[in-house]
Amino acid sequence: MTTAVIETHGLRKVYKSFLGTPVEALRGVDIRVERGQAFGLLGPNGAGKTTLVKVLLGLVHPTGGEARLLGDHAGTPAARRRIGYMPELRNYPRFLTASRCLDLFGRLHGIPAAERRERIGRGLADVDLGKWAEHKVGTFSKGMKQRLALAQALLNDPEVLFLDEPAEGIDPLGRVVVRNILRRALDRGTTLFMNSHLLTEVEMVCDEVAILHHGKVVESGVLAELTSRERQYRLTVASDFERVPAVLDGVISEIEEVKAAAGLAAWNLTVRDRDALNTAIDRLRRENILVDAIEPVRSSLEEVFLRAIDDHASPDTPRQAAHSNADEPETVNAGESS
Amino acid sequence: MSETLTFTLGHGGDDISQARLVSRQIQALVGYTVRESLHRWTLITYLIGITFFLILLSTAVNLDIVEGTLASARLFGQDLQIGGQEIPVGDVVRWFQVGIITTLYSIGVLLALFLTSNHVPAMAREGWVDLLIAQPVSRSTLLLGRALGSVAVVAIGVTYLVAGSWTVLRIKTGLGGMGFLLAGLVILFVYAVCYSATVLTAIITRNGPVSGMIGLMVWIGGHVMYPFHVYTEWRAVAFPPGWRRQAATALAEGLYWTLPKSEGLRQIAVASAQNEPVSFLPILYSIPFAVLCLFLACWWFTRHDY
Repeated sequence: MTTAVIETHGLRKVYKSFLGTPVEALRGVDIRVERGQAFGLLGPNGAGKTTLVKVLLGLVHPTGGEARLLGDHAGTPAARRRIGYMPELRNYPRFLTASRCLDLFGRLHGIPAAERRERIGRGLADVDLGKWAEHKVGTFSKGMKQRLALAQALLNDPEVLFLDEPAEGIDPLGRVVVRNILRRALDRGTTLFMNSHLLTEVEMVCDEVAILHHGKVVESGVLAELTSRERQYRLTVASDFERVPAVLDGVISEIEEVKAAAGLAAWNLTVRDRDALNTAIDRLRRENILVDAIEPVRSSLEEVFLRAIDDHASPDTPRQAAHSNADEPETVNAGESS
Repeated sequence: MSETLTFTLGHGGDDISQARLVSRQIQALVGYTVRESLHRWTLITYLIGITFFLILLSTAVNLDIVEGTLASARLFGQDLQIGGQEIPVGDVVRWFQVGIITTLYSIGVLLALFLTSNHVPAMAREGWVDLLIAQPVSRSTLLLGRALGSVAVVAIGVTYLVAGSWTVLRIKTGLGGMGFLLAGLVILFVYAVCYSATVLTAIITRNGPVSGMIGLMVWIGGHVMYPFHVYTEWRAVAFPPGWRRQAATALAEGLYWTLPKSEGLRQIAVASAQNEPVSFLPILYSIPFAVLCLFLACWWFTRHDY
């Protein structure tokens, strides 16, 4: 049985402007993140991503609804003891050295001195800052501060790690370092909650995503499911290329030839259902056409993201079904309840 | 009850009592504030200035004491005329102590308020306060730990100056009562009470200079209200007759009892420096102001979104 480490129900946040005009940042968000998942939170600027993270961390008080973190109400010190947070804006005091900075956070977590020293040394070495331990943070580059922030977030060996734009502003090599550290954390059973604009980073690290738009979850689910195009498959054959469209005539809805490697030919097939796909394969085999591969056609996360945003251009547009199997809401791990 | 509450740390499963955790957190915040003051040269400048004063006190002032009486005094090597009178050395020590305490009470407290007024705004800046709040520390602990750090910074300076001056005078004259040291504590208390208003303003406005000004106004306000409370005849002179006098009197009394008793505390400090008996009521009557300010500051900080 899976356990939710992050759970929100009808979460709302209304900010009041200086003149008292209400601004709805969250408009009833329901999400559920299971233990050990790598969860990506996506959305355009102003979608409410940062507000959602801040509510979960206790930085912002919700106007309505409920948010729970590791079984406790989000925002309580007890819940925060078991989490790590890497903020987007890292305004570390310039006068602190890297090790003293981590020491402060270790003390706030109540880690005993000897263990603190050991964790700080190991944490800085993990993010390639070992030789910079006694250098002041004020002399660090943006990428170094980023890695220091990651070391700080991992200092207490958290059960849930919140990452706000973890790859922003660092070079490709630095991103690989960060990604490897995150993968090691996942291997240890840490749950990742990543808020990022860099869709490729989310695609490489996360297995579940939710897309937030105008303060509502407009799309969510397992990444592989979201990116697979409904009933579209790529067929690659190694013989009798010219006969394929005729053989499949009447079985498939659409056929579109696409580029393939030398000696092969490929088509994107749209079929009515799984039975039609199997009938198509049977026909090809009966005609002795050598099938090289048949695989689902996938969209990029960017395409999924843009489609979700286009479908919900207005804040009042009702949310469409996030999954093809929308009749099975209990299997949805991250989404808005209907 | 609170001692029995324990929390688990991350995956590690280390248990720690809540009281121990809060104690470690406050120590960390105090240490961080002192370190920040050292970095910003606030504390170093303060200590250098005091060291300079102590060197001056120990080298420039020479007192020749014959059978417990001041025979002659020299300042920077120049003879000071005593007018042929026999001055008990105890009086001279008291003059020095009262002078030091009076200076410390006025200039010292004002400097301390301004030098530490930026501590809370520096903590509350974006990108740092959110990181601190995301740690397993309550916002009240965070704010009170920071404020305690500021008091610790000032305590270091006051202790160095008062204990240093006391030691120099003791070495030079063989005299010096414990009252002088007590006066140092009273001055630290005055600073702490006025600083509570600075903390409240700083957490709301996140503006160091404005917060320092409010602390200063509270300190001055306590002095201004004192004569209206003590010298009732002043009311007849200062306020127009009739209901307006009654209203103004009520306002003046209200402010007197709300604000810290700056003048009463000054009198305690000066009397202590002279080893005279003192009434501690101004201290007791000033505590509610500090408690109220800190309570409001914690309430605001806890409710605010970051």
